[in-house]
Amino acid sequence: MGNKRLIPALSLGLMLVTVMFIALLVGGSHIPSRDVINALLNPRGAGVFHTLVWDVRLPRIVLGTVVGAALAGCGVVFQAILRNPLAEPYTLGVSGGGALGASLYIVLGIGGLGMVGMSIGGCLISIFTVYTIASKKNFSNTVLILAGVIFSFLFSSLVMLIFSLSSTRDVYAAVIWLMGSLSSADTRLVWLVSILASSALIFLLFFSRDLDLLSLGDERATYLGLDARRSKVFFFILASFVTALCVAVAGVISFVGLIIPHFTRKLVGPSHGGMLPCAMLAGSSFLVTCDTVSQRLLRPVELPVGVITGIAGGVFFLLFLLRKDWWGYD
Amino acid sequence: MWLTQAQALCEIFIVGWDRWIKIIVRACAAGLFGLFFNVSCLLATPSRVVSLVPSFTREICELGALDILVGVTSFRPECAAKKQVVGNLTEINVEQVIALEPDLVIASKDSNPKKLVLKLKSLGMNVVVFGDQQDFNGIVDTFLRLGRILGRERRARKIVARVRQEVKTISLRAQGKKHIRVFWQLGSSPLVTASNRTFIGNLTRIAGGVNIFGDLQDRYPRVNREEVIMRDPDVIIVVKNMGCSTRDTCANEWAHVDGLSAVIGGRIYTLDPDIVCQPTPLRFVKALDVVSRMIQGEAHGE
Repeated sequence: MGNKRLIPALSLGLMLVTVMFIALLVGGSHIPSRDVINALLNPRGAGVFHTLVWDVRLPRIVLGTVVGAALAGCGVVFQAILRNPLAEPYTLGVSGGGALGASLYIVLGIGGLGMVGMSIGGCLISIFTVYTIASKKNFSNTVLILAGVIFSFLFSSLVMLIFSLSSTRDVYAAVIWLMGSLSSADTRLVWLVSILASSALIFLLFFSRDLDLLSLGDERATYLGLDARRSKVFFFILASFVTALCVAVAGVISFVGLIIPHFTRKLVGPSHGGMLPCAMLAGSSFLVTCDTVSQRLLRPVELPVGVITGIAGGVFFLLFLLRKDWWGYD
Repeated sequence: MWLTQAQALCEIFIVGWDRWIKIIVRACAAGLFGLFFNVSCLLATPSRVVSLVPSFTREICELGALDILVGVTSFRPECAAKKQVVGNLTEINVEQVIALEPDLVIASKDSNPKKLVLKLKSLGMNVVVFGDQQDFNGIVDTFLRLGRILGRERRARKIVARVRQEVKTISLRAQGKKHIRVFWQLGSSPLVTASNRTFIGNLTRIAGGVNIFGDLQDRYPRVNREEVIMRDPDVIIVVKNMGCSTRDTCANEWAHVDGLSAVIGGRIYTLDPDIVCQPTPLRFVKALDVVSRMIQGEAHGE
């Protein structure tokens, strides 16, 4: 049993390290591999290559790793607590709130918090409203999902309203932002978000047993000694907060949080003790790979990373569905 | 045998001949009528104009034709602030356009969907659609055509002559100097720039700069941060409000990049989007003046 989890986890870990290293070598501009390695070995060096590797490539890869892990991990959490195979980190309206905050900032110039502050604010507002509504109905899954979907629609309508009242260039800037990108200019912000999100994710790993119980349903979880309601609220808040961080710094990146949990569930089984860390590792590898492809494909032009994750994820998901014995839900 | 065939052919030809004459005469008549009709349309200056494009609204102001302008879009220059709004960027209220009874509707290929133009035409509107304006010549041609249609040709020519003169003066100023590598930042996260297939690229060239991403096919491509550093611009021009609102955040993005020529020279400038976002001849020359001073290093601490 131990081996069954350990081997996939180790190989996924190895894959992540390889992918990160390849990403460091490829990047978005042509640098000879020797110079990349030289720059890497001399952290206190100087020069253009040093700046490129340490200030541009490395933060981007770290951000990709953290956001990939966070989206996949949160996907696992939401699929478990909502007991719904279509749940993903954005299901409960977090991305809608983030998009609204960012649009308000870009288009109307509202808010002194800056772009990141505004989109985190938007996410928090949506988390809070969904929480308030669900708390009135004892956090039933149906109510949570419906409230999330309704707020997603509401927020996206508000975003459309803002767009329809604004000039082309603002709308363009906002739409581009919404497509998602790991190319953040602010290195300090990248480190801050990475530390916050990764500590939250590690914290999450200690509660994988609770996820196992919750995925059996609220009633059974309660019989087995878990305060289902409290535990659900805890997971909901924590995962939403991590998602909010990702949305604020990288925009809305689709498909990672939906595909990766299904993939790892098949790989290591439904027990969250093995699945959660494996999903995080796989999510990181997937996003870093997609980001590298998005940079390399039309270099120096960059494709939105969401396009690559969407296409790769969509094709993968179709194959997954067609192989019926792989599908765990029927 | 051969003879009869040839005869038959000749007969067909001969019989066909007067039919051909008839066709040609008819075509000529139709053409002349059409020509006359068109000319008369052109000669009759419109008296009620609806503009569906903000930059054309501005040009109408510049042409002094504000009195015949009856409808505009919600984003409009100050001069047209009191005009009836018929819609916004995404939606045009067709009923409102009809209610204004315009004899001319001005649209553009870039800004207005084809469906809308077809709809207005099918309702019997006289719609004139302008093509895109990728460089100074395109902007000037469009302006002259607009002036001709609105019966303000003299004024349009006068403005264009003046603008051409100013553009020439500025381009002469840049002549003989070293080519300066320029990076335009139109969006911060992700990074968006303009290629040479835009009027920003054209502007840069006239001002004596070399657009570092001029070679790209896309008009407004997303580019990689690394590639900007590799191509090492001498000047970075950040258009404000495109993802970063204050000068500090925009300039700071590059300030930490050691060894970047623009950082060493302290030549990161910010620009008001209104200057480069509405391509009219007068705006172009204004933008050119500002940008050329940035590129030639006369705009310290802006």
